[in-house]
Amino acid sequence: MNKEKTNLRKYKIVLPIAGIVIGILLGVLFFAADLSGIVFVIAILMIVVSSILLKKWWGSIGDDESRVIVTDEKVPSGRVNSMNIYPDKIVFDEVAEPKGQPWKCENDGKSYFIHILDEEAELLKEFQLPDQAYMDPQLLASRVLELPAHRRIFRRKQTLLQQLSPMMAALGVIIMWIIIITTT
Amino acid sequence: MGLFSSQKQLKTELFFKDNRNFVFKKRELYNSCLVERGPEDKLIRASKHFFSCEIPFPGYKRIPSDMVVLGFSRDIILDPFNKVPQGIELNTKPNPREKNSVKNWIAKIAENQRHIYRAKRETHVWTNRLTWVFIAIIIVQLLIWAFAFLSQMYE
Repeated sequence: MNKEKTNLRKYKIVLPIAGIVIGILLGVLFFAADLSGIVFVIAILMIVVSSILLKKWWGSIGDDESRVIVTDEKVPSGRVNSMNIYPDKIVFDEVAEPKGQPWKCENDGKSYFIHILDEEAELLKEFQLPDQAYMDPQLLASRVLELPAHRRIFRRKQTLLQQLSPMMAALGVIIMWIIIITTT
Repeated sequence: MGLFSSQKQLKTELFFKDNRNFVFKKRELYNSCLVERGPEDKLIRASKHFFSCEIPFPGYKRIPSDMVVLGFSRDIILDPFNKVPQGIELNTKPNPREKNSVKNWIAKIAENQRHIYRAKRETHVWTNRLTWVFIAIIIVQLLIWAFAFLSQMYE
């Protein structure tokens, strides 16, 4: 299993690089052998797509969620009827006499009874959500975290060079086209 | 700022909904809050994140193992085991029975946020993106030109 994952990580580097190299070779071949225009389009597409994939996958190399070992608890292989919340773990488990009404898990579409540990009685009890005590999550997002008025005040004024940079880049594109057309 | 890169930090939240559904979902951690973004990257929902409230979850079926925090749709803090001490500092939770305690605590978050915005002072992101798109086009043009130049050399 680990070997397969190591191979997968290798492919994530090798494949895009191979795509870029093949794209460049196709491009050279197109001009050298005077091939159909579709070859050139494929070459450009290969280079662009491979570059995007390389950029995307480069950051995730080494990421492997299965390496997270958060508890010694065994993961049940079959279907169980409950999810139990303890102060030090959350586990799916089979409970002989489940309490309360089931909740539906959106990850697998199945229903489970949810229990929480009553720390005083040291027994599992039915999990119940409290009513609002602090603040509405939407208000925290829109009024407190976004701070729209403050964002406007603190927005950095751009220099003339920064304001002109898209226009200068657009001008660069036009100049490049002129150079391509006139020199080839 | 990268055109394709994402600097988002993600945390797994066990989120309970009003309709008796629950879901294990990765949420973005933004300025010590777990947030949900809507259209145009606007924040539409946020809840306070405390490291002390993270609970180990060994995984189940296709849900990966991770440290999980509890959350629900009606409030910004869900701490059923009272792991977070009460207070007015940002690393504590306010006393819900004292009206001013919650207000002062929220005000501290807002003040903290104000300092963050002041320090970052964001620029117009769309102009930067547009510039990067044009730069990408210029690179493609350079490639085309290089191919053409090479082909002329071979001829």
